[in-house]
Amino acid sequence: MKNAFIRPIVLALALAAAACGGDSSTTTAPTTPAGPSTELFEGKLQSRGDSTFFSFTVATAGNVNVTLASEMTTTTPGSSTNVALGVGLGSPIATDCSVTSQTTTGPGLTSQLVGSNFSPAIYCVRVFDVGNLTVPINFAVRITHT
Amino acid sequence: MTRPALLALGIVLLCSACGNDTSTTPTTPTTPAPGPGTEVLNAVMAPTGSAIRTFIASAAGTVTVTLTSTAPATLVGLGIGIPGTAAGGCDMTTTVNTSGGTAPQISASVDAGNFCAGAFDRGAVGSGGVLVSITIVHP
Repeated sequence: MKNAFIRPIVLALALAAAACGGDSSTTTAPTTPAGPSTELFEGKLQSRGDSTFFSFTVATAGNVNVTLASEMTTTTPGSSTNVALGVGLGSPIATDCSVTSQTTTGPGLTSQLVGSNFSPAIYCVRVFDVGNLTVPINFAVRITHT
Repeated sequence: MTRPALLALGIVLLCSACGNDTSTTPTTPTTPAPGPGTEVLNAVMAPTGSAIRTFIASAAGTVTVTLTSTAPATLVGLGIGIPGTAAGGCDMTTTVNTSGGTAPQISASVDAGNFCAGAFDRGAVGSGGVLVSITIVHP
């Protein structure tokens, strides 16, 4: 009598264990491929001679690519413009950005300024008017670095 | 059926439900897959609205953007840029006005990275909206 009761239970547990055995496949944690970091620097130049900068951290030695990607007179898509602005790359000093290389460029989707072999440290990108500003301009700069 | 047998059947049915993770609910990818390819965007654009698609260029190269049609035929803006905080979520680099055609209206050199392109209302979209069809070819 006792065996008649236990036997189906043992069989059921065995079948249950078999049914639950499908999770034996190992899962590996997703790995994030090492790659450059991208920063978006958006700002606004209000008037002639205006300037603003953005600081970022290079974690490992490598290149820094700077792309002035957008200039717009408002935040609406139809207001794109093509004014040559100054874009500089350097290091922050106190509350300023000391530029060591710079270029004058309109917006584009390929980097206009490249810094090579930057050591791990804090750097900055400055965007400034070179005398062409007649109306306020919203700009967007993409910074790609290691 | 005896009580032990019923109990055993219950255990089997209960546990047979576990361990089977093969049925999946389709999920929508949150980011576009990198790599060369063609993106097609068909969307109804409301007055003052925009229809923007983000994409990833896997390498430096040329991107072409073609507004193939607007229905009803409407002059709209078409642009390319980088994802940002401007209206529509796209900081535009270049824009043109067009009502559609077979040849690309925008061709732009790009580095590898994330980009966006699409159409926006320049004031001509009626209250019923306009259906825009856009093709983006990227490296």
